[in-house]
Amino acid sequence: MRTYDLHIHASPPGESSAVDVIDFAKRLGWSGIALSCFPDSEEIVNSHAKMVDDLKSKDFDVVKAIEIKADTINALHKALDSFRRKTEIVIVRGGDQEINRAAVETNQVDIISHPESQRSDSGIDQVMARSAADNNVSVELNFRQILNSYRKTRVHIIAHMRQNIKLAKKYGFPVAITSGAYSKWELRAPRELAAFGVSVGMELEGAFRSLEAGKIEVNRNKLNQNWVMPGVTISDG
Amino acid sequence: MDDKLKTLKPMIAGKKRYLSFEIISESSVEFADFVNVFWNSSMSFIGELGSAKASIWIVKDLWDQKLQKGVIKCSHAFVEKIRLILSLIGRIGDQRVIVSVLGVSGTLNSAKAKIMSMRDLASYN
Repeated sequence: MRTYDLHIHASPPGESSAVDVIDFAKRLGWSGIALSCFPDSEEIVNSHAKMVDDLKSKDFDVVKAIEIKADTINALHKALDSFRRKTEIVIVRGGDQEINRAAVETNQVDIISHPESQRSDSGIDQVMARSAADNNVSVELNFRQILNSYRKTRVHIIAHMRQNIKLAKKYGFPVAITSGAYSKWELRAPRELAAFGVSVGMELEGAFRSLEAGKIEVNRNKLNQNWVMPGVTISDG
Repeated sequence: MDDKLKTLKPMIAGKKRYLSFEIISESSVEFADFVNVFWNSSMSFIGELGSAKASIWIVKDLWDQKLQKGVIKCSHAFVEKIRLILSLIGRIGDQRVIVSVLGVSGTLNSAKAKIMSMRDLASYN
């Protein structure tokens, strides 16, 4: 089984260099990781893509990802239109109800990151859950959220994650367990993240499936010049 | 007269598991510091009652200071929770750490074997 941690920030804006992060991820047993950047400008996305391409090796896969921090729905759609065709994984930072809703209502988004963040609820209701299932948008369980929180805050975050897992079981949207690391010291092994998934209510098998990241291959095919639509590609012959 | 109790039968004592773990850090960590941080993490995550139900025992004799590897004994029903408690340890003293579980076994002997023979994460290249 190939396991991927789909939400990691290397420096900048993270603390550790991309090489250090990759070295640690290899030690912990990952098959690959997705390095994310914030797409504040086109130059940042292009230079990030080039850096990731340089870091790929035969024994370890590195995936291009962006994390969109949008204040309005228009800003989110603008960023998606600009960068979707340039990156393999698109993460939208959740928390705001309108952004959460907009993110799960488009199939251009791969992962909605910590929808429960800074909220007094889980950030996903049954309408959003249906949309997430229809558009195959993964809801993230971000390990960093509980690693860096204590007592009451941690309790609320875990309770909201459990609520989202209940919805995932009922409505069938995918779940992505990620470390959300900003430093190599915040990385954890795949089996540990699976244990995190189990502890918030997932089945062990489902927790492993959420680390497999089948979306990467699908998105790579879509980024291919010859791709037209699902099932249709232009052949060279 | 020896005041040691007779060993309980396995059916009454309950099933146990041994988790062998490794601490990854920039410089070596003292066993006492790890024990302290582990119990804090356990108390904050599963509480006193949960920790009692988990029957946690950190096996001092199997701590390898040089390799930074050790063994924790717990109830078989709490293996996933103990994994999570270990992974929630991010700092021991001033040092940032990752506590990685090397394997889970049903007997102390196989736990020992895991510590001695499994790949050394620190020497990974």
